[in-house]
Amino acid sequence: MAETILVADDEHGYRQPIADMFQDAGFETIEAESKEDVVENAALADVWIVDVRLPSHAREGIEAVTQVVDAGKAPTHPVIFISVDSAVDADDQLGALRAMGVDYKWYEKPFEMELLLNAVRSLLGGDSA
Amino acid sequence: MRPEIIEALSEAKSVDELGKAIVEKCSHVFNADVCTLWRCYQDDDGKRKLRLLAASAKAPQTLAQEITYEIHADPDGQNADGVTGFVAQTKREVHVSSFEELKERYKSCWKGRMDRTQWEAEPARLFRSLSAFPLMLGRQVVGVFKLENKRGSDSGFPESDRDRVRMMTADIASALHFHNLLDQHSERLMQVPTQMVEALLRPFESTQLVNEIVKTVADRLHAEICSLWIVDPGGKELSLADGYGFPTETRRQTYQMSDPAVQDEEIDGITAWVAVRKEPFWANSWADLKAHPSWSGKWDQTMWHDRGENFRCLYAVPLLRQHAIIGVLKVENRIGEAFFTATDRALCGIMASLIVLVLELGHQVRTSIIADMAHLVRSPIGQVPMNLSMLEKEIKKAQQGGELRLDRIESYVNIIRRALLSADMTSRELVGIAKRPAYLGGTPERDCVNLYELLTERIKELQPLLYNGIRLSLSPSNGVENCDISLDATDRTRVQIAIDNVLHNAIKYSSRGGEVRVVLEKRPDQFCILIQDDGCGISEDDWPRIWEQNFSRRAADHPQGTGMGLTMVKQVFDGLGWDCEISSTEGSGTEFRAQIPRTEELDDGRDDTGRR
Repeated sequence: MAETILVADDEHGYRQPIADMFQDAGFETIEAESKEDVVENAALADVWIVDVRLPSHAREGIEAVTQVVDAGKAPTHPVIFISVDSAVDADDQLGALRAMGVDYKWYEKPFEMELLLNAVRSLLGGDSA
Repeated sequence: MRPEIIEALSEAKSVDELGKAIVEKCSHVFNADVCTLWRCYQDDDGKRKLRLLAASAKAPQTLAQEITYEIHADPDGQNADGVTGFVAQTKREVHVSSFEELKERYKSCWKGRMDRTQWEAEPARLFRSLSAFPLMLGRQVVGVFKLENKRGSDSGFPESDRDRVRMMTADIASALHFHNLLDQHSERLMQVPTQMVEALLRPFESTQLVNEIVKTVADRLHAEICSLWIVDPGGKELSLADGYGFPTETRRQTYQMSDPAVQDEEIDGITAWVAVRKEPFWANSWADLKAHPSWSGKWDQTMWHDRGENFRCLYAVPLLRQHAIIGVLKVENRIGEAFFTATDRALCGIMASLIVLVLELGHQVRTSIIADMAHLVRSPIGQVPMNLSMLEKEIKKAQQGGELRLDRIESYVNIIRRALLSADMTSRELVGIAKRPAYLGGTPERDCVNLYELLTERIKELQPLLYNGIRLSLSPSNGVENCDISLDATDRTRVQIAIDNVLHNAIKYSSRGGEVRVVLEKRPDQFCILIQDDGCGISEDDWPRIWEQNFSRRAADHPQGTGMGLTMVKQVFDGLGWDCEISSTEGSGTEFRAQIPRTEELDDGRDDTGRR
C-alpha cells in the first residue's frame, strides 16, 4: 500500500506542484490549507510536509504540529517544515517541539522539487512507492 | 523632635498615616475625646484652604465630611471662615470651655459646620471644651491642631497641656511639610510619564521623533539645552541624534567610545564617559566639569566659547537597554535654578527609560513590518521556480512519448502568472503606501495627464500577467481623447498604482474566462472611471470591512495580499479630492467607480470630438 503524504500549505501555488509531484511518484496525498486541516488529517499520513505560515501571517504550521503531538499523535517520521523564512526566525517554537521529542527538517522556499522527493523517500527507508 | 512625633513619622508611609498616628497618640496623651489635624493647601483657583487630614477614633464621621475652611488674608480674623479658619488666618490659639463661650467669643466667624456633625447635632449638650493651635513653619501656617473635650474635666485643657502641645506643634508642622514635599515630588513624577508618552506617541517620522523627545525633555526639566546621543550599531561612536537649544554649528558632534577597562583620562569626553561607565554624571559649575578626568573640552569651544561663563550645570544619564548602552540623554543649564534638583534628576531617569522603550518599540515594529512585507513579496516569487520545474517535467514527459496533460500545464502557467502578478502588485502597493507627496519648497510642477492614455498604459502592462483566460478591455465613451487632468509627477505615480490595485483586485476575483471591463466616461463636470468584473463579488460579512487597513479577502488559489491595497487607493483618491466607491453583488461581480473633477484650465473650448 502506498504511503500517504500530508501536504499542508495555504498557498495553492505551493500546495499543487508538491502534491502533484508526490502523486506522480506513486504516493497518496492529503492536502491541507489550514491549521484545522492539519490537526484533522495528520494522523492519516505517514509523512507531514507543513508550511510554517499557515495562514500567511502566523506560525500556525508549527502550532498545528505541536497540537497534534500534544493530542498523542506524534509523527512516525521527522516533520518537514517548508517556509520562505529561515529556521532561525522560529527558533523558540522549534525548541519547544524538540523538547517534545519531535524531530524535523526545514526546507527554505523555493527549493529543488527533487530534493524534497528524495528526502521523503529517504525518510521512508527506501521502501516507498 | 518630640518622641511621639518621631514615632509617628517613622511608622507612617504616607501623610494620611502620619496624621492618623499623630491624632491617635495625642488624643491618648492629652485625654481628649476628639483630636483633629487640619492641613493647609491651595485649591485649583489659587485660594488657601484647610482640609481635615486626620481625626481620632471618636470622630470617624468627621473624616467622611468634605469640610474645608478658607483662609482669608486679613490677619485680624475679619470674615474668618469658622473658628478653625480663624486660627489659621490669625495664627492665634483658641481656648474655650463651653459651647456658649465658643459661640459668643467667636460669633463673627463661628459657622457650626463641624459641630453639628461631630456632636450628633447636640453640641450644646455634648461639647465641653476646645483648644486649637496654629501649626507654624517659620512664619507660615501649614495647618491647625485641635483638641476637644478633655476627659474628666469641665474646664478644658489646662495650661500644662497647652504648653506640651505648643512644644509639639513645630514638630508636627515640620512632619507635615516634609510629607507635602514628598507629595509634590510624587505628583510631578506621576505627571511626567503621561506627558512624555503623549509626546512620544505623536504620529511622526523617526527624525521628528528625536526632535520631539529633546524638546519635551527640555520643557519638563526646565533646561536651556537638551541633547540625545546614540551609539552607532558598531558600538564605536556616540553621535548627536538631535539637540534643543544647540548652536547649529555643533550639530555634527561625536565622541569615540572606549573599552570599559580604560582609565577615565583616556575616555573621549564626559558624554562618552557616561556611555562607557553606564553611570549618570552631574556638574554644578564650570570648575566641576573641568575637574572630571574625562573632560576634554572637545566641543566646549563651540558650545561655551571655552569660557564657561554661560555654563551653569549639567546632568547626563545613560540610555540602557537590558544593560547594553544605546545612548546618552543630557540636559544643561536649569532655568530658574543654579542646578538640577534631585527631583529633576529623578525625572531625567524616568524619561531616559521611556525613551529607550519607545526607540526599541519603534525598531521592533519597523523590523516586524518589514519582515511581513518581505514575506508577501518573496512568497509568490518562490512559487515560480517550483512550478516552472513541474512545467518542464510535463513538457519533457510529453516529448518522450508520455501523456500530454494540458490541464497540468495550464495550471502551472496560471500559478506562475498569478504569482508574478501578485508580487508585482504587492511591491507597487508598498511603493504607493510609502510614497507621500514631498515638496522641497514651492509648488511642484503639474503636467497634463490624459486619463485614456493612462488607462491604456496600465492595461497593456497587465496583459502578459493575465491567467485563466481572463480578459481586460477598455471601452472609450464619448470624446475621451481629450480627457486631460492636471497632476504633478508624484500624484501621477500614485494614481497609476491605485488604478493597478483596483485592476488587480478585479482580476483576482474573476472566474475562469471572465472579463474585466474598464470604462472611461466624460461628463459635463467630471470624468468617471468604472472598473467592472463578473467575479465572485463581495460577501455581506466582508462588505463593512473592505476599506479597512490590514483587511485582506483571500481569493481562491491566489497568494496572500497586503491588506492595504484599498486603504491606499482611498488615501490617494481622497488626497486628490476624487470620490470613489464600490458596489457589489455576491456571486455576480463588483464595480469600482471613481469620479474626477474636470480641471477648468484644460477646458480650452474643444468639443467632445476634439475640435475647437
